[in-house]
Amino acid sequence: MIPIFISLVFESTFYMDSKRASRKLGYGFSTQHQEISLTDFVVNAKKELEAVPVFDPWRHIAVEKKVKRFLDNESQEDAANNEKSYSKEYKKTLQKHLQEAGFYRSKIDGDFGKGTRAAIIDWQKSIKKNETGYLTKKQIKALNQTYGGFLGHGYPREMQNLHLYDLSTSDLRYPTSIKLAVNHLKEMDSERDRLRELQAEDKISEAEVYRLWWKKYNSFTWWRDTQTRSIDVVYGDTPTFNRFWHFWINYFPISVDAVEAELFGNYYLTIRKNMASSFSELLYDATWHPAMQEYLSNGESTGPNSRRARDIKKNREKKIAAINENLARELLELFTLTPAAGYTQDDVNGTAYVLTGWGQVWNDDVKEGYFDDYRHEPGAHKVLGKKYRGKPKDKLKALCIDLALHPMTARHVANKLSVHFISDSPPEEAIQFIENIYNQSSGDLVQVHQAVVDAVIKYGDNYTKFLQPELWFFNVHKAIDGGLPLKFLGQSDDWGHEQTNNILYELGHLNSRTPQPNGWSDLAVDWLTPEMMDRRVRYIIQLIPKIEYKLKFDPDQYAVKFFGKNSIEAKDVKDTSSYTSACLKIFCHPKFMRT
Amino acid sequence: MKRRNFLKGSLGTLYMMASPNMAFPDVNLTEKRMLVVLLRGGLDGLATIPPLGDKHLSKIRKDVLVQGANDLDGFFGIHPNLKFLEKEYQKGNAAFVHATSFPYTGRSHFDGQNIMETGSEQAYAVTSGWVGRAMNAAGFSSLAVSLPIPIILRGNEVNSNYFPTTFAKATKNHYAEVEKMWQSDSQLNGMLKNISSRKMMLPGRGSTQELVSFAAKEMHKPNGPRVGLLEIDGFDTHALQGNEQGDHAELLEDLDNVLKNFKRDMGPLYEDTVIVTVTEFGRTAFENGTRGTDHGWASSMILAGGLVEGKQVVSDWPGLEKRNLFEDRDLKMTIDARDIYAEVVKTVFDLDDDVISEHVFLGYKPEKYHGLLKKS
Repeated sequence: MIPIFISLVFESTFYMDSKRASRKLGYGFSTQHQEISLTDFVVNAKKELEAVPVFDPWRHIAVEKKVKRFLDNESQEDAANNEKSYSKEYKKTLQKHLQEAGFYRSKIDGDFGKGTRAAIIDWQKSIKKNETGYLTKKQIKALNQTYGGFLGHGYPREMQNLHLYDLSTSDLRYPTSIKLAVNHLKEMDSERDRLRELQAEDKISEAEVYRLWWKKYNSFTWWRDTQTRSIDVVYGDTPTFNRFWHFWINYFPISVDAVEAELFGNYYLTIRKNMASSFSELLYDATWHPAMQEYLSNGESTGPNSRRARDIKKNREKKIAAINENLARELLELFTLTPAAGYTQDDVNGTAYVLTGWGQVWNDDVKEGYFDDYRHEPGAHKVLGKKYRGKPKDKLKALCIDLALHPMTARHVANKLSVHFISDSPPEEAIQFIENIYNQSSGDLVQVHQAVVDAVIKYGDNYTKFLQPELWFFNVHKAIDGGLPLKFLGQSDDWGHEQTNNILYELGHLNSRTPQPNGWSDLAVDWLTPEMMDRRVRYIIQLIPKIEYKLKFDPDQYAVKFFGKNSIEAKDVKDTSSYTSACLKIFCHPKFMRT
Repeated sequence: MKRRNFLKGSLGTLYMMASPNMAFPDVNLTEKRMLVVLLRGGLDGLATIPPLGDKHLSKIRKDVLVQGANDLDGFFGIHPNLKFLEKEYQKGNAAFVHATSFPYTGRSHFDGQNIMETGSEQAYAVTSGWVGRAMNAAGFSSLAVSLPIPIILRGNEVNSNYFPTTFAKATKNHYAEVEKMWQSDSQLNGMLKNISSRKMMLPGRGSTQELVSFAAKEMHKPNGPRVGLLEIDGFDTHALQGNEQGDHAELLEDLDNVLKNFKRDMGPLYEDTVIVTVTEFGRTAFENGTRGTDHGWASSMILAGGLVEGKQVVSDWPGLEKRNLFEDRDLKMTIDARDIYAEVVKTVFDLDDDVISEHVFLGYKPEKYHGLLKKS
């Protein structure tokens, strides 16, 4: 007998009310949450989905700032006095860290002379502190944590450097147009090249490259994107809308391993903009967007009879004028039909021909839907028996419309939505319910999303869904009403390596690092492992100081709210004397980890 | 145009091990060790072990054509960056198989990876993996040093995983409380059992090299794990694949170094070890329009270690002439990869052919063994 992974159907110990619905179609609730009837919940949720709300998460930041004020009161005199007690070895370590930070250039001798003093002053300047030349204990901690604790752990470099620099003056606005995004990207690219060249000529050190780059462009855009999504989830008032937005971000995933970070913001906004349009428009916009073009390497795909191909021949370039079928294949396999539709290699090729000419966005006059027919394969291209011809730029739109209206696409979208919102093995009626509305409305996303709300209420009560790490994280912070690790404020004195991206990475689910083009898994079997469960326990313990003293979260009250007034669980939390244990009994409870 | 992130982390390398399963102390355990290397994305066999004797190769490839490949047997060559493997081949400790694959021609990563991991002929037909089932049949438990446990290892009764974290460990009492709370939950019950008691320490969040050294050290112990699994991403070289230099060449160099260090750290036990690669498919024989290659069918496979009957390239070469290619574009599969894996599993786990056929490859009976492993 071959043992297979056991998939379980849980007893229905839940019933559907607005609290449970708010977890299935949002991110849960805090102690202050006002209970409403299920009917009202459904009305509100559907209303939320009718139009795209303005995305302005920054207005919430003021709230975070208030919580985070913290002063370093150590005087220069105290700092100088403390320094006297440091051993030579300890001083060497500090010099080493100042060197790694790109400020100290003299010998590591444990002697705090002129060079060290100047390096300390430069470093203090870079973090906008008083330039005393003497390190306070807080500053030493920061220096050690950054350069002592972080290097050598194999982190992405940006994680090591981020909190040394002040982000408060960064331009953290979303690039609302593709032109802004691409121009920003090009500007940053040329600065990188300039610094890299200086490094290659041995004029500056590697550390200096980072320092100078950060000084000028002190933001990491995909960090901003995770941060802002988190802020909007925890403080915003459109949870159901956000759940669908995040669903589609993962449906059309991109990864920082292959896509410039600067493109993320505009890509996410482009997906968001389509939340009240149709699937075909969403599909079209996600496909032509430079982020996706770059992720699935379509940009240089060349039609064998294009003008580009002629030039290759004419100039005898050592290149082959041909297509790259990467994006074309995923467009059929992951975004629309799925292999079950039985398309052929010819269909993939036809799609790839349609896609030639997209993705070359590096010109100065780049605009929405940018297209360059220099590489485009002229003529008609056949996909699923239909020929796409006419104006080169219009072929993709026509193809996207046909693919979106294909019954296999309706089935695929309905299935993905059901798996995400209802169950790893959703009931057939639920899938069909969504599929029918999709077909009737020609993929109108408002109607499809509203159908999901109905399906969750109608079919969801007998099914539980295990929360992916990001969702669990959002549910926890929603419950405690804040406490997000928002390191990018920069001016805060709270130096720990607490940062949303870092925490989500540790929890195993940093959205912008999608391992493969099929996105993060929706299935419990991919998340339910000892290591991942251990991290949830550890994260709650790490959160305790913050939630106990800063947020004054009351586990007893929350347990009553969450589990019910007379529940065994609420009683158990009440009977627990340790604050940490009480919190573990809420946030690591199987009922909290599922919806 | 080469556009890459300025600051790029290197993640995506996972690794796991299998130890004798304490639940079955009486099972006849072998002393042999196996390292499975998953090459995700689809390895370009024609760039790794280029068939230098096939005159069509240089006609259908330009930018991705590998120059300076070293000759292996008069027909096949080896990529110049696979220095360690070439030496091992000459010493009789490494062998290659060419024009091999799973019998899957759909060219989808996800279906292809599912098939290479489950060992089934249909994607998503089973939820367990062929290595997991082989370990289970032989009485091993596994520990994956990765976040999700890769499908190829699932199907083992005692699964665990480990990956270094910067979160501080919880106290014994807290683990006990949570464990108690999870006891009545059939999915969560027992999850923390190994976590709270394990002693193993990884050297921080390591590079591939560190992880493999760590793996070798653990596998080196007398009672240590018998199976290791290493995942390497990035073989999906659609654009700017490179040739003897470039992205693909760098990946091969990394792989070569990893295996070299693995050998060093295995010490004398390397004699009882086999390393074998697994990939979802090969790539198109032709170069595409972005100086890369697209999804194809057959690829090449690497076998190394003391257990390997080395210095041979096993192949029934189908040829690169257009009419010999699958659908005019892909290298044809002439050796079913399962035949090779069956031989490896038979040697390492000491399993009967019937057990392998029934449990590991779900009814598939290998056509023949190719003599790639030493007779013990």
